[in-house]
Amino acid sequence: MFAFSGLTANSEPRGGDINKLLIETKDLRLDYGELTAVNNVCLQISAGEIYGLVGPNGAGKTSLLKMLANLHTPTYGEISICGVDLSENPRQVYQTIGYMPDLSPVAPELKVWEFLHFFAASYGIAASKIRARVDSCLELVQMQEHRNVYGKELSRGMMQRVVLAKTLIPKPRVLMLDEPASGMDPLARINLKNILLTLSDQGVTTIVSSHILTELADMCTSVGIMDKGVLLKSGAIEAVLNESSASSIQLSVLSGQETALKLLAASVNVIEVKQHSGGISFNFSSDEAGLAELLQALIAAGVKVTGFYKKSASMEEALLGLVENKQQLSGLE
Amino acid sequence: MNKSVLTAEPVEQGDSFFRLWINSLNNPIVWKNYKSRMRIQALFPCLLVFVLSAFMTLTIYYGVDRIESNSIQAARTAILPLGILQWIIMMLLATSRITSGIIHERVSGTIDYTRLTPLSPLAKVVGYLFGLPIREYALFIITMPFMLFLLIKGQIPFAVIFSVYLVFLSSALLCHLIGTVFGLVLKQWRLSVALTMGVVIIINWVLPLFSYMGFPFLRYLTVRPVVVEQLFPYLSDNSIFVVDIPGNLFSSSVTFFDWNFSITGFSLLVQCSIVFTLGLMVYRKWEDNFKHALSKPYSLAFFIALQFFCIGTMWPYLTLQSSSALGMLSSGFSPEELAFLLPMVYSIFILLVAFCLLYVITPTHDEYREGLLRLQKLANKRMIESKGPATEANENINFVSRSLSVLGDYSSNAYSAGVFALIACVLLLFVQLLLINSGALESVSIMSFDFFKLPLCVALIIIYFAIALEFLGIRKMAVLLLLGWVVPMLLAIFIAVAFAVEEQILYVAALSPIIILFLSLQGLLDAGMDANDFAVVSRAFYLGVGVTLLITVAFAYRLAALKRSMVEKIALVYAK
Repeated sequence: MFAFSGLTANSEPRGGDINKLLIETKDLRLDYGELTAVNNVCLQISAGEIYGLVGPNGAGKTSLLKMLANLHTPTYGEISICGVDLSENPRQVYQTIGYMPDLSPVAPELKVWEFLHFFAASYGIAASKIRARVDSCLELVQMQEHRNVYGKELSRGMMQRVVLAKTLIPKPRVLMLDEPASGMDPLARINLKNILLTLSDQGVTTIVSSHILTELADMCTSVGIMDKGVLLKSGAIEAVLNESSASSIQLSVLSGQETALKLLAASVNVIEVKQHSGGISFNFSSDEAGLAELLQALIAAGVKVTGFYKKSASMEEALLGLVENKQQLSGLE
Repeated sequence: MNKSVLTAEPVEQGDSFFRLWINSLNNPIVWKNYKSRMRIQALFPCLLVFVLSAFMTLTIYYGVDRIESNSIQAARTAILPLGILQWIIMMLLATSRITSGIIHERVSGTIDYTRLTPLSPLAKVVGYLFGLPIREYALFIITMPFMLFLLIKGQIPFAVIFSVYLVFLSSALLCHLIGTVFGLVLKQWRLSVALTMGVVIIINWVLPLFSYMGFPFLRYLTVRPVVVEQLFPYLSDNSIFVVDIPGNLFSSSVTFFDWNFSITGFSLLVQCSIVFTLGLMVYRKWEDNFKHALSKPYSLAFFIALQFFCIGTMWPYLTLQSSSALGMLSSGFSPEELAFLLPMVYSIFILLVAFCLLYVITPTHDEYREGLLRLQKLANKRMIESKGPATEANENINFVSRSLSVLGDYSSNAYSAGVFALIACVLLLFVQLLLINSGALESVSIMSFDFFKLPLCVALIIIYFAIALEFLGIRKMAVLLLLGWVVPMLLAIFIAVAFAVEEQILYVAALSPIIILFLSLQGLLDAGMDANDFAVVSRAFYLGVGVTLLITVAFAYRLAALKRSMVEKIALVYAK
């Protein structure tokens, strides 16, 4: 494990600088024949943000990332990366992005160092500096011991780490990682998270799609939830989770549970009351003042409240809630 | 941790990249392939080629020298076998390696990494072209000391060696670029490699045979004419184990219109023009994988250039300056007797070239739809900027219908097909006029409809192919070609053989557009035909043309309706 010394001394806080938009898309759409894989996606991601892209299979995450990396041409829409129009000057954009695809392959017939050397040379790094850069990136992903191993001899997780090293070779300002942690062991995942956090502190913008939502929640500053090509929700992670209809209130009582249940059932703002071993949980549709009044009423009714707090939805719950809501709405239509 | 590794900063980049990467020695793709293909595993093929070359050279040289006591002749005798080994290495092995290497990278996905590097498209073209077959280049170099030994011992002049190897390398480059195009377009590894090797063999061994049947231009795609012209005079009769070709087909120069070119120069000219076009196709694919390999304007220009080369090399035959118009087939016939076949041979060339180019430039329905969607977005933007959101669907439809550039990749191929057909028609009329002027087709009147039959027929077939291809797509088109173009011919042959029917089979065969091409020739030789036969052929021709026209109109109508509905669908959605 690496110690990220000096991390806190960085001047730029995590969460991004809204004045420096590094990725901007307008009405991005991608059609595969009759299927619309990505539909009118508008993104604005600032410098230093770690933007988590979540959604079920077939949501359009990979297609979106491929368009941002210029591996798919959008059916229409505009993509600007670091202020450069991707369609106008893709080669200039290539200098600033690092893309890591899902199930990243490594050239099987090349040794790890050769694979990285090739990319270092392709990005115009001076020959005298290539070895140092390759070694540094290998050290970063903890693969320095495998520098002479052939690509075909690497495990899935090792391949992911080598490709991550490849992605970091040109010191990109924008990272696009499609399921980067798949196949990685827990230690490698923690290492990946630390690398991304360090990069974020230095102003590197990262878009990461993943199915391991808890890990995304730990490191992302903002999140976008996609389903069937549509970006359902996008914004700061706290805001997205708080806005989610899945947010619930946890109530634990010392005595008077029956009274509490009756009171909750009588309240018009309380929905979906559930009893469990830890107490009672319910969803509340009114504002903070309404919540305070409810607590007051419980205490006044003699319920001995030991805990009353709002539990934020997890990423999974937020995703499920949004996708279910969308399905219900489309069912009504 | 070395924190500087993570520091985001742009890598130095300058205009010198072009100069840097064009130099293939500094090209990272070449370096990568050198690393992956020149390891210890390369030792065996290198040893094998070394042993083979040494065995062939020394055995033939010393064997012939012992028998004939002539070391010069002995050296010359061994040149051709070793040359064939070099041909196998550079043409077959290297080309198939390029195709398989690119497809392997595409299937594994590593090609996307290269695509995203800031290397210029030209550097990528150069890198793959010279990088992937790097082992084959090494094998070729291993054979060279033996070849030089033979050339020096055989006292072959340097100018001959230079000419032969210049055209050999140019021809190899042409094959390698074909391999690159196949690698970037095809998807199945085994099929692609087999197809690539097949095409290389066809270009080198089959097409030159067609050059003796009215297509002299095709023989200059290979090194053979230069070898025959420059090297054969030095070789003994024993060492030339090729088909005995009439001497008048080989001359020391190429007559191109009224000019005379050296065979080396003309071969290089033809090969370089095709190399340039193939290089452009690969470049465009590297620049944007979703572009068509050739733009519509370039494909039209290339079509005209190929016709220029073809007519130029046919010129002596068209003006009856040469009596070997159809090469080996000409034997025993006067030029006048076979003159009517020249327009037919030429029309087959026109059709094949037009079909290939139309395949490259024809958009799929999805591509057309994408083009419309982009235009619709543009239409919305313009309308919002000028007078608020578009509310009238008709306004949108008109804008979208008008704005899709006829020369863009996503626009219909109809206009291009029309131009192809027009050019084909004009050139065929020109060829027929030349033959009439030279006296070969003097019985044909330019005022009669017979004079226009073949050109119009070729134009119709081009339009039929283009419209059917765009409407049906490549898979359904393949089915149509089999059922609509080939089966009527086979059915006619079957009926003729099984039931000894003569007249009716012509009507069955005429359902195939290929057959109406031959039937249209009747316009050029009616004077020599029996009146009854003439009537049957004429009826079959008009039946075939009628059916082809009907199918073309039906496809065109349905294609237009489909496109119209696409435009309306998109416009209506955005007008909401």
